[in-house]
Amino acid sequence: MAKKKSFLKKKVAATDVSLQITSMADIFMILLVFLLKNYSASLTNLAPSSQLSLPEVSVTTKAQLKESLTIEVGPDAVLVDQVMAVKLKDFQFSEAELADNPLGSPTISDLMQKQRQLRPEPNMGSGVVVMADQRAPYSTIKRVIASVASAGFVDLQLVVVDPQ
Amino acid sequence: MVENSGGDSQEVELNLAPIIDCFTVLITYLLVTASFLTFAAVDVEVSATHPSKQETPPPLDDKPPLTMTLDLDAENQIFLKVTGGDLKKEYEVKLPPKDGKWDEESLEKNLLDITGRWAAIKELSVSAAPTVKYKELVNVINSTQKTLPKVFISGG
Repeated sequence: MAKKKSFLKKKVAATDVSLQITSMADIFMILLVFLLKNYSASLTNLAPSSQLSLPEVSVTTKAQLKESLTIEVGPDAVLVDQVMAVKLKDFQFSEAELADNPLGSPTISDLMQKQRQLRPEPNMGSGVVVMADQRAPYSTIKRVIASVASAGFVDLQLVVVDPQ
Repeated sequence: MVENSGGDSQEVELNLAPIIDCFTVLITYLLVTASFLTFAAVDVEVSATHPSKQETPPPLDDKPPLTMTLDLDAENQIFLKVTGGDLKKEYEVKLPPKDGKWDEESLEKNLLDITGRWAAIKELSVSAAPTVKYKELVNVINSTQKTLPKVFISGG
């Protein structure tokens, strides 16, 4: 008599199933090396606001960004080292501000001096990093520059995005 | 598989899970903090007042020093002016817009011509009309720095 074939599944012997992660570690290692190599080791940690659109310029004379105070001119405000100095409305100073001080903004100058004191010694340099929106009109830039200059900062570094 | 001298085999496998954990944390941190924009800087200095109103110390031979100014007007025209020195009349060049934009090519040519003619000119003062956009100003300053690296910007 032929042996009846059992329809029941045979129990599979338990096997050790482990995820092969060696290749994953390889990929991660390559990614890590790439990111570390591209990581900016610059002293100046520039973090422009998200609404700030810096001009794109292929600079001819590559100047190194120095560690100094930063001033940001955006559509809504002028910030000194991330601290609000003056509010703007679509890149324009308020009428009252312009009427009171037609040449420059004393609020910006005072804040510049204050922020300078907070910096570690020696903090008497005349350099300032300017991050201004590419759409800002010269009238606003000029007023900011005048305010910065009256606080004793005359060496400006205009930050641009290098398309290369 | 490593076979020892005794003959019985022993499976030695490196536990990669904690390494992967570390890598994941590190990669996430680097991706979040990395800036993929390359910043560059254009160096300028501030001239306290408008160049034309600037007070300069009297030179020894009673001749005012040679100065060059660059003005950008609202109609995308560039004006280059050279004054002082032996000049009896100021030298002025007007560069009309090219395709509605600043003619940076002609600007560079003219700057080379001027610096070739008057070697004493080592710097340039830049000013612009109130409506000129910052991007345009920076582009023009960048073009001039090919010939004259020292640029002053009007702050008053």
